Amino acid sequence: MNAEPTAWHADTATLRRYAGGGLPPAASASVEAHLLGCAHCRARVAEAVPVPRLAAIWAEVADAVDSPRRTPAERVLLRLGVRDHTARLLAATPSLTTSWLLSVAAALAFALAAAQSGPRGVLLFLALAPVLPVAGVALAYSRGGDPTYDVALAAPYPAFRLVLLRTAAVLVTTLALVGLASLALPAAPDVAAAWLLPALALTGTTLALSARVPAPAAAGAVVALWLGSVFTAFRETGSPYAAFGAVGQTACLAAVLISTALITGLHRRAAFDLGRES
Amino acid sequence: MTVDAMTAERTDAHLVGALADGDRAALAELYARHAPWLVLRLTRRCADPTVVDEVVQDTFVAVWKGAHRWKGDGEVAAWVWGIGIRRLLDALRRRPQAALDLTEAREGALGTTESAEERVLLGVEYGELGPALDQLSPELRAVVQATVLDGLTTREAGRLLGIPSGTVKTRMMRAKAQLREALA
Repeated sequence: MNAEPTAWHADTATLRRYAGGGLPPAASASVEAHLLGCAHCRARVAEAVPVPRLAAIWAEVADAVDSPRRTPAERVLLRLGVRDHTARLLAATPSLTTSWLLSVAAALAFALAAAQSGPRGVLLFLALAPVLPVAGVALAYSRGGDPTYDVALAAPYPAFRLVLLRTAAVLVTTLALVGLASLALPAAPDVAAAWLLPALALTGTTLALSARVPAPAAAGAVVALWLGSVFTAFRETGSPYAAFGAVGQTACLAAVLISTALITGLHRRAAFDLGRES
Repeated sequence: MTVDAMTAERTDAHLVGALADGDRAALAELYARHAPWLVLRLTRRCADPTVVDEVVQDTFVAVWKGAHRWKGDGEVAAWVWGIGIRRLLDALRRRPQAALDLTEAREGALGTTESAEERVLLGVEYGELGPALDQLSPELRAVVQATVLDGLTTREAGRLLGIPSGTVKTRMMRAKAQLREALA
């Protein structure tokens, strides 16, 4: 049997008997073999099947096909007991995609490679590590980066909860990666963990600011301030870890507390609108 | 964007190719072309219309998801049937009580005068295979149909017919012997 149209076609009475189940077995088998290769007879036999029945089956097919496939991240979240609409919102966060996580991993790998060269390299790692979650958060709320941005604007879902959920998700994944990488850092444990408080401080400050300015702008300002202070401290004292000492860590802790208070206060005043006003 | 006229002109093979790119219109067109005969052919193997509808649905979802597995040669209809008959087997395994009308005696199989077109269909002019097949007992014929015509393995045929695969083998042997005798 090939795709060439055959000149021979089963006649209407035979097809009708086949459709009705009244054709003898061998003749039925013959019709079936012919139907596999003949679009013309397939179209003619189609008339025997009620249209409503076909439409009902099609509706089910379309339903099954249209429900979007769950991403691996979504399946993990569902297994962890997260409700499905929350899981979808989280999984749609641009900074939770494989490509984002891969770029974080790549950045960490470069920083780690640099860190092997000595304290200056370690400083590069420590300065970079807090920037990663900030970039992730900024990406999560930028108009360009978020495929569900318009949906989020229109969704009857508390914007603040969405912001917190996504920030938490970004923080957890990014900090886990940074934490893993810092294990390979050629430095004392207290130095190797010195990025954690700055990371939280930078992320918190970015979030608090993003109630007033677009998230990418807030993130840019915070990152510039952070890198500026780290390298100023380095230049003035000559010690690579100057910004990560007691004073720096205390300042970061203060920033964490203040930004948390600000975010909570802003939430009460419903200022987190993801730009719904602008 | 694809206009309906273009869709209608696309061959089955093109449509399956388009499925892999997520073309929903292609799936709708394939369904329109292939769902009806699939319904009829499955109905001849499973009397329960609910099961048949479910199997047709499963088949087209599988076609959508598995379009990349189509090798691109042969008839799309044959590929669809291959999926359909195996989905039917799965469905029957889930609910074995679903009745099969395969072994059900087909009325008018013998004794009625055959029309001219049936004689053509059966190829009676060229051989006696058609009538010989019709003269097999329903049990033997069902085995021949499942293995030879539907292309199922012995085990799959056994599952479809609700008999052990050993029985499929012995019935197939008896059917062959009987056919050989009839055609001798």
